[in-house]
Amino acid sequence: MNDNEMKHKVEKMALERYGKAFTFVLVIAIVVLLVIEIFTHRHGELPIEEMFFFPAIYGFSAFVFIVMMGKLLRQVIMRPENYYQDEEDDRDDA
Amino acid sequence: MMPDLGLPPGLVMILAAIAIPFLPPLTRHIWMLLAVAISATTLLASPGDHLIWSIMGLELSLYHVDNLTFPFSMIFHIAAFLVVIYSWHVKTWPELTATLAYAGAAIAAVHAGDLISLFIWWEATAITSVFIILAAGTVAARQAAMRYLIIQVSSGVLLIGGAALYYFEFGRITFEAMTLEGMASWFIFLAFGIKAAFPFLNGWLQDAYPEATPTGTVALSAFTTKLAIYALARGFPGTEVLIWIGAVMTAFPVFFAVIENDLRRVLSFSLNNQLGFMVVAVGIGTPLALNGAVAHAFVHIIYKALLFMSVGCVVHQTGTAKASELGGLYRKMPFTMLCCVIGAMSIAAFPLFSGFVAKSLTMTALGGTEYALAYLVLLFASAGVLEHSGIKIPYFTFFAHPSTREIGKTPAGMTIAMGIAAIMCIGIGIFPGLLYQILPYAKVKNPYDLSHVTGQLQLLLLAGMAFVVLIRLGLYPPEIRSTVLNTDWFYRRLAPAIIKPLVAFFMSLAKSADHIIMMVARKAMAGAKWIAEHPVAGPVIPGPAALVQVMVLLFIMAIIYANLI
Repeated sequence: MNDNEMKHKVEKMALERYGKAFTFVLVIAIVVLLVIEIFTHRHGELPIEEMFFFPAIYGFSAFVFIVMMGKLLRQVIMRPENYYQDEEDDRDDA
Repeated sequence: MMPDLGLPPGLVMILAAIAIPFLPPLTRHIWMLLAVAISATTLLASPGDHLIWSIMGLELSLYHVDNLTFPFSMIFHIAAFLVVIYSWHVKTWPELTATLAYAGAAIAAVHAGDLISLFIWWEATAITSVFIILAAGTVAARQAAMRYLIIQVSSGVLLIGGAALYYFEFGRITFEAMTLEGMASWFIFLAFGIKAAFPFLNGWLQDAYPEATPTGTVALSAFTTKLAIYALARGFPGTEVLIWIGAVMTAFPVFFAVIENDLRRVLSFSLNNQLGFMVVAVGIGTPLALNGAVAHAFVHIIYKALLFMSVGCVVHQTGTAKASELGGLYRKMPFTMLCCVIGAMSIAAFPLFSGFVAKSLTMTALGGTEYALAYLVLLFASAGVLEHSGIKIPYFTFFAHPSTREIGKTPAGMTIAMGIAAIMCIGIGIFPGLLYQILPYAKVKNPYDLSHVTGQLQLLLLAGMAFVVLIRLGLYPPEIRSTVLNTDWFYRRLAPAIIKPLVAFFMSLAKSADHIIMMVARKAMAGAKWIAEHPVAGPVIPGPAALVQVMVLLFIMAIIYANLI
């Protein structure tokens, strides 16, 4: 294993460690929010917003929906990187 | 107190810009800061019309000041200041000249009290900003700049057309609140809509902005679109259709941003989505909502500039903004990473960051109306903002993959500008009163109550959790080198695909017609020649003589016919 590969591996492990720490902090914060939600009344702009843990459920679902739709959208509107380039280069030469 | 230079605000910056090419490179930025500072003294002017020009029977108000112009003028001056600092390492004059003139034109436009002077500065922002895109010096930038110019000038043409019709209809050119009745207001509305990047009129934004230099994109992100928001807030407050247009604007770009690989393009989609929130607020039109639009525009300019600055810094150091080629820079560029995260948390509207104190005004205003669906769309889009700007930008730039890339030193100007913008994002977030006191309408109460804070945190943290889950399950779409089709496809591909064959068809038709005409002409000539060469009455009368006789005969017959009638 050369120096570069070694560095790469160490970096990868560090990133994984930070990722785990981030997830841990996130879970703790969510648990705290859940506890607050149980013990306090949260006022919402719409009646539906006052449902138990509504913003949380809505945020999670919205995020997953956006990403999944994005994946679907890729099938329709994703093109190779040089999609516009070829024709425009021709035009430029002309 | 009113500083009286006899010049409308911003014009001093345009005049100063003209001198930039003739100054030694080392003094150019000091000169630019000086121009911004002198122009900023106009912020002290009291409300009213300070400079009227009478021209061709029209009264042009070039220096209009009121509660709405003040916050926009102030933030445009701040943005100009930040851009000058950020571009301190840029020594070439074309970009610097264009940048200062562009910022000056936008400031002057804010102070236009009538539609004609608004048009002049509206066009000036278009023309000056084109040179910022051109300054990148690439073929792609040149082509994008031309498309950008066509769209921007079209906006100007609609505006002057609308202004003329407005004058004929109402006999005045004052830039005031209008209703969407009649062609004049529709023309003006569309002109504003192009610059505000309404749905399907937005292609120019994602097409052109990412093609500019790292410094140029920061300048571009601040002015044109927010000038359009200002214009909508002055011209069309409370126009219901804006609520739905804005709602679509908030939701529709987020899907594109998920799959876009160029991070500056992702930020351009994000810019579009943010404009949506402001457009909705203008559409509601209540004092609270309009305050929301202004507050959002104000903080947005700072955090969007911060995001563009941090990604620009990465482009400056690595030469690319492609997510597929970046990642793992957190150790190499820790300060830039920190600034980017602050910008990301601000745009995602985390409590204690500037986005939160602005967005909650619009959300509260919208929650109090009957537009519950629009409210839910905006809530949905808020999760979208977290996705593309809150997570995607910092994650794919600074984390995601290990990096062994060598990085040079970041220019000091870039670091300082990012630092100032980051401090402003946090400062406004912690002390919202600083922002609220300059808002144009009614007083606003503090947004920090338990319901607002916990509700927002629930939305954002669970959306963040969704990201973690999707990444860990391998369901998050990978970064792929690609082009994502946007609405500019209609004029870059569809229109040529239809028009080219049509043009070819008409060209071939013209060619055939030409061919037929030439053939007939040739035959006629040949016939005439044949007649001329062949005697028609035996050997006595030669052909040419016969032709002359026929012509004389025809002439005589024509005279007789004319006499008869």
